[in-house]
Amino acid sequence: MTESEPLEELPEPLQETLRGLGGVRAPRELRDRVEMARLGEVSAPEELWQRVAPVVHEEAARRRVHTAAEAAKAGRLLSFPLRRVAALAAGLALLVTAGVLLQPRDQRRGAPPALAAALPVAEREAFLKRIVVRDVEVEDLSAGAREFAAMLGDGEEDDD
Amino acid sequence: MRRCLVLLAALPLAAFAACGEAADDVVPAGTGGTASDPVEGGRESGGGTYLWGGNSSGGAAPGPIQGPRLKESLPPAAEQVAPEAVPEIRYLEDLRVRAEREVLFYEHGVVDTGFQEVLWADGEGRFRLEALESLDDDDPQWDPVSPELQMEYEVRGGFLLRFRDPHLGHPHAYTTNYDWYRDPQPHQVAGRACTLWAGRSRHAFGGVDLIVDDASGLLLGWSLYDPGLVERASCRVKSVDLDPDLKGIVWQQRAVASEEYDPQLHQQRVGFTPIEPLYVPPGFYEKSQEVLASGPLLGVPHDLHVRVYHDGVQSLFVVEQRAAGAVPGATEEPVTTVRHSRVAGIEMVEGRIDGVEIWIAGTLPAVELETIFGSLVR
Repeated sequence: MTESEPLEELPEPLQETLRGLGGVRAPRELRDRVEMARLGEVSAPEELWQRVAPVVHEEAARRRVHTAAEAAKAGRLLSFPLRRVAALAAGLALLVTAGVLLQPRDQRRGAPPALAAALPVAEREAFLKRIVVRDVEVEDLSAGAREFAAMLGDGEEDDD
Repeated sequence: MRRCLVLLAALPLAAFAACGEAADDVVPAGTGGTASDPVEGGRESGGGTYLWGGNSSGGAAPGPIQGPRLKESLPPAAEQVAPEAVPEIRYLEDLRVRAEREVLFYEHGVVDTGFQEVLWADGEGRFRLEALESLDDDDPQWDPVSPELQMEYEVRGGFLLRFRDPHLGHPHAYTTNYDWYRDPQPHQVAGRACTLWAGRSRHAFGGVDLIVDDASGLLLGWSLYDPGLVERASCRVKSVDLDPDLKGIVWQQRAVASEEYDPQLHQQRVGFTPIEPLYVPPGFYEKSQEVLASGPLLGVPHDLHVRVYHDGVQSLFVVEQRAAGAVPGATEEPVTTVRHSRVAGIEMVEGRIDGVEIWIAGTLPAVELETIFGSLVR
């Protein structure tokens, strides 16, 4: 991103969103991110990270766990429950995924793909016997796994 | 219901925080047994009881779907048609368009979460998906979206559009794997005359309804059904403008580079040799292998290797990532413990094999994902 690029006015809904953030300190970062996306510069995320990393590390070291209410009280966007915040990481990972995995739509006219055949029950059970499955609460999955699943579903991380 | 507070500017911190937490959450292989550790796999429920074999939660026995459940999920007058009769479908995001639509998610057939969305696309690959209003089971009224949700869409738009929304895959797959029905009753969506085409998995993996504009072939509505043929999500387009003013639209684009996976180029980069499942659910095919650059922004130390499988209607993901601090091949356990849960209507199985963290996610019965995982264990 270059500073000489003329910035177009942000869409009204986004402006309202930014205003709705009140005293939160992050809009500059958000604007940068939006502008980066608009320009389509792949290198921008790393640049963004480098710019905010010192703040993030300092914040993470200083404040281990915060509630959203505390964050609002403090007026700092970077204060969130670590567990919640951790889940956001995969959100970005999935942003990556979104732009990647299905970029070309499936080949509708290419050679027919080889479809997997059904395996005999004995073979399936042999695979299952190699693992022990533990049914856990959603919270017991890693943050990345939770977020990944949420993105495929209704966007919530709750158990159903 | 907790709302995932995705605040965009917090993502770097999120990425940072994820490193430690994900590593802490991973259950080391072979540590999930009871007092007498099992030497064979099985299922450990809350009370430590083992259920052997594939009798997993959410698991439907593979085989053709028959009986009243299928009839209940189909329109009363629906008639089975030759799979080849399903028309070629066009998708809104491939056109220059502005469309408003309502997306609902159900829990046991009852609306649980909903979004009023607006989709912009320029017909050249750029798009933007935004939420206008939302509801959930805590507040079953349509309310303007919160700033948090709006930014959540900012992050997730592309993913939602490309993965949450159904897209038919190769015709060979969706004609082989699904029985297809046509509802002779006319349907109206966004003021357009449409036809409902219903696909039901021949492997008991669920189904899809596609409501297609008769004149244009555009997909204007859909419903997704879980393996029990209970509706789990739906979408209806409310309005379509095929000549929108796109000035000022901030397009959603990918933020981090990715590439088609090439072992010669990427194996060292991902830090391990990706494991290919020996078991793939019947009817699925490998659609792609990608390596996703983690980069500093993601806050994860290693790149992700992702296999996407598809059966013509549904996607299935096998994600592998070198675990933080792990040395590939350092641990060899006779039995690997994996964790299963259901998140947002999606089955997720997670575990670690030889220092590689693995997620398997999809809408298939959990036992299918678990079998895939078992087939990764060498």
